[in-house]
Amino acid sequence: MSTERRRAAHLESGEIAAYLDRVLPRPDRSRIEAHLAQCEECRDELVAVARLLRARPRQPGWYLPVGVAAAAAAVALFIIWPRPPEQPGSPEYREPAVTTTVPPAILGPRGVVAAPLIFVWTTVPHADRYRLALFDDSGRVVWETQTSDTAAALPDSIRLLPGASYLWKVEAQTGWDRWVASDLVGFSFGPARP
Amino acid sequence: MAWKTFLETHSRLLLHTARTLGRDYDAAMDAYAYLLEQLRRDDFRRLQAYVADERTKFTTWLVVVARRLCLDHLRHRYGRSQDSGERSSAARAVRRQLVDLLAESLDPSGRTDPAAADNPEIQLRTRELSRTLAEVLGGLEPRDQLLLTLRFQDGLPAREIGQVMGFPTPFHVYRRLNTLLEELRAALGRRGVQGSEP
Repeated sequence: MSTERRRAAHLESGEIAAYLDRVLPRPDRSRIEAHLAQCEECRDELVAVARLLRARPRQPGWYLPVGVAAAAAAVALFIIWPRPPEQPGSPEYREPAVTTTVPPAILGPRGVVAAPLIFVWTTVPHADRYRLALFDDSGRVVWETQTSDTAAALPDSIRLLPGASYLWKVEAQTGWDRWVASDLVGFSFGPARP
Repeated sequence: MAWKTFLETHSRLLLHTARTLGRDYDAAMDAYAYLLEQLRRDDFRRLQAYVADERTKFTTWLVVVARRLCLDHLRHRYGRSQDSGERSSAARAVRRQLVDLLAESLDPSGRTDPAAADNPEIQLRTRELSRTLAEVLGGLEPRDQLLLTLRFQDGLPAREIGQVMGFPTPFHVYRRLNTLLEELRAALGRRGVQGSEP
């Protein structure tokens, strides 16, 4: 009997993946956590998949010595060979090279804030997706979302406790499975603005 | 063409999955070949199933599917002993249940003493504590139940629990665990279980 058939009473592939990717709304996440707490087989699978993802091979990159040699060669060529005069009006076919990855910087909320809450951060060059996570002071995920924008509004369905402290961070996707994270920033939630 | 692009992008990930599960190089390559065959089968039926939930990252979903296919193949080929989940279950069988482990954590008095096993009073108290604790655990939120299970029953380190459950740092895992243990002690105390208060 195949794994798929035997797993009829267990979590589906999409549910395991969605739980690990933290894209589930709270009721679905709770349902899956309730199942995981009781089901050893699904817990084993969850942990095994998380380990596989953590230890997965990265996309092949340049070895440092090769990179250094290439850079040295490029500098030598640049010094030895005179640059040809630029053609007026010649088109640019390439984007500027990405030399560093800058994490997103949190703009707000910070400190003591009031509703409505809008989370804002700086743009990361070449990032096409951002992942935001909001935690309460015990580390529990209160809300998660993904967006291509650099701002996200807290939905009405998420209610923050007045006076309670929260932490949030945002990650920017800068390449194939490559994310760069902001610092964790804290704020406490004050009374609603009139 | 699309299949070629898929392989160029994901073959390392699929090979990694097959290698992790295969007992040796040949078994891993065998599993990898089976995996590709199954993914292509019925006009890429399995891959097309991904569209059902596009919020999930494709690579995460692919690893879950690939791992299941590899396990199927290895079970069929080599028998169920290849199943790492079952191996860990066997290892876990020698461990005690979550309630017993938590009971010891909440009320260690007498449990480390070998003579306590023969003491009827301690046995009674242990049974009472375990029964009440099971009731209290049942009232916790699913997330907290999962956290306690991963920590005390499965014995996962805080760092790994944090990665699996989405805590920002291991520190947050410890903090939540401490809070939960305090809450459990208080709940047991309210129910009159002796020796459960700090």
